[in-house]
Amino acid sequence: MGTRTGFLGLLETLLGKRRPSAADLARLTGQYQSPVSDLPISVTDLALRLAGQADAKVLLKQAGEWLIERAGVECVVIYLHEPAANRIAKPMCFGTQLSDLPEAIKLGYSIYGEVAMGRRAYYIEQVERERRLTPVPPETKSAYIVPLLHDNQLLGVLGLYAARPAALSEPARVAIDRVVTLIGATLSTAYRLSESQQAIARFDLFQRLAQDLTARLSSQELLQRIVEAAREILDAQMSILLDVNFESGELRPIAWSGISSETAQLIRSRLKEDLKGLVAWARLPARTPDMRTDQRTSLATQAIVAGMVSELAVPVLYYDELYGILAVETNTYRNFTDEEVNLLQSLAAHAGIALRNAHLFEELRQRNDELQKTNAALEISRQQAENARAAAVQANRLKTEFINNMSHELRTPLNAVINFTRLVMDGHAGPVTDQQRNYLGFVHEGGQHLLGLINDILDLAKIEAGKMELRREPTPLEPLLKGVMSTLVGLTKDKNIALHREFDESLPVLNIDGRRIRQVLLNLISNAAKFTVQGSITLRAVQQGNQVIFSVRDTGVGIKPEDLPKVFEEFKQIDNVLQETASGTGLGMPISRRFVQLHGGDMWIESQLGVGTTVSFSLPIT
Amino acid sequence: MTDANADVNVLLIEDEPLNTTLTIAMLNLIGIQRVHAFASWRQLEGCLATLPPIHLVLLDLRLPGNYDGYYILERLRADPRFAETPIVAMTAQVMPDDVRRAEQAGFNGFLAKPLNFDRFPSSIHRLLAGERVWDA
Repeated sequence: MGTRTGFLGLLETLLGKRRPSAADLARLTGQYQSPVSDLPISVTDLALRLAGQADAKVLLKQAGEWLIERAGVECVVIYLHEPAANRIAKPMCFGTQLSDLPEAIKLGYSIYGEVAMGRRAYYIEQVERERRLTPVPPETKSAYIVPLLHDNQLLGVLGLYAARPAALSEPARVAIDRVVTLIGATLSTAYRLSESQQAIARFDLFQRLAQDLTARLSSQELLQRIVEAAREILDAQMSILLDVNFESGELRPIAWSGISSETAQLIRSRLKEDLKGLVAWARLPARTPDMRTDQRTSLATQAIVAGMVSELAVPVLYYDELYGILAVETNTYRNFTDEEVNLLQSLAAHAGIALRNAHLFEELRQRNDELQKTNAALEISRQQAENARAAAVQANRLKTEFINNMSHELRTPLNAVINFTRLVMDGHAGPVTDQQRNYLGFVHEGGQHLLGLINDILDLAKIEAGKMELRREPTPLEPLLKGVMSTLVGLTKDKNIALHREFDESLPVLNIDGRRIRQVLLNLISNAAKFTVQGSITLRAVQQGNQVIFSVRDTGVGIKPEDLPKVFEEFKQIDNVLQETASGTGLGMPISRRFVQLHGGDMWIESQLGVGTTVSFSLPIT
Repeated sequence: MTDANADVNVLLIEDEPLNTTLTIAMLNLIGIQRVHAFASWRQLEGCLATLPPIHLVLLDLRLPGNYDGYYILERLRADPRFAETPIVAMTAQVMPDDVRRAEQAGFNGFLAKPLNFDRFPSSIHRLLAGERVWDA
């Protein structure tokens, strides 16, 4: 027992590192938090496949095909959300093809629309009772319609259709929910990547166009020409153009003529204050023959532009939008005529165009900076995802190498332990007493147990790495079942248990890996034999439609309802009343189910505490 | 059956002494007494010319140093005396890739470690009769 505990401890350490890939990826992308390692479906390889995929269509195709392959469902339908049209549309279909799917569904209408609107998954246990769900693939028993969400945003709706009741059982749905969360997160990343790429392309186009338009003169040069023209044309001593900032309410000089730069920089105004501020506010021209006596002109302005007497100011507009004001001032008393006002206004209109261009450029430049930053950030996160994927691949490779080495290193001494024990036990090394043979039997059994454990771990590692290869060949079922039955006879020979066989030669020949299916059946009967003290064990196989259903029924100790989901979890053993039977690796049932699933079938369990247990599985006739 | 194997010569290349002892004992059980055991290619190379005609080669794959089982297989096959001799991989490397590699390399059989005590005698007899045996 001590050896076994130590060995299991080693395995736990080993298996603690079993899925660094999914955890790493989750941490780096920050997209989904929950470790899915104890669920029936492992999403590690899905996460690896989807990471860094920027094409939404390719991504959904991979996800859909993955679900068909791994979730044991017959058909997956994916609708995408079109927020502008308030509908879900453009259905994609994987697995069994549904030809008459509606092209678009309004939010709130039919089951898909309800799931989209309510953002809550809908499980239909018996499809025939939910007539609103059409179309459905033939043979569908249950369906699960799930919203595809990310950050509370609806991205679409997924529908899964299963012919086997167990495919969409409670634990399977929990796993599917996590898979869908992962799809949502990766899809959202893909959307953001392609949006940002499009925006950058549009900006580049616009910038090139704008540059062509203003190639001959920069805005600043044009504005300088305008203020100089204003001063000359109106025969004024100074002219100035002020820009308006609506956030601060400030007017700021940007071009001037006839004054020093120092003086110009002092000419500030605010909306509604001073003559210039009033012009900006009212968007109407204003003139004063003598600003020294005009109450609209502030004392500060008078001091700054000392020597100036008359002023004419007009708003700089582009259509209805205010960009600033243009003003001229004279050092002699002057009444500006209407014609002069018009003249300055038309110059201001030119300034309006130039200022607007300048503003547009500034906005575009800022937007471009932001886009560049966003894109750089996205590029970094894409690279991180890529790195995480590479790290996960590397970790997986190391894990496989480790498991291979461990297997080799344990098998070599086990070869000696098991076979030397047999040599002595069988009397080839001299006479053996009954007690010695008895004890050597324990040694041999221990060795075989360890070997079984190593084989189970290798199987699991192969399945996880997608390297489990089935050697399918036409296999008659009756001889296979008879062989299993005779093993069962051996297993129960010391117990008072009746054995029943319910199968006959009418069973079809299946194209299966007979060795693996035999392994599954042996696992089921050895469990039945282990947990049954009295009563009976029945081995049954019957053709049902296009599949064969196998079952092993016992009148053993049974399993508590709350323990049933644990049966298919790796390394989980369930407490039971027969203390001495707590042996085994805890891997038999999960591996058995994976073998059946690799064949395209499924496995399920029914049990009642104290009454007995039935484990069944299906294999399709292909 | 025991007498029939009295003249059979088996060449065993295995680096782990415990496994060598075990394999010899298991061969002895079916009457094979002439087992020529070596721990490496270096040891074997010098003695190759002095060996009697060999009926079966049991070859460990993972050996220390540069010369593994695949190297030895290649060298033996190049020798006309071993061109048709059944050469069997006897190894604890049992992943599907390992088994496939052994098949492609030209081994006549594959015996996974731990050896199956009950199947071992019939496997050896079948190999001696010229059959391929893949007990992976």
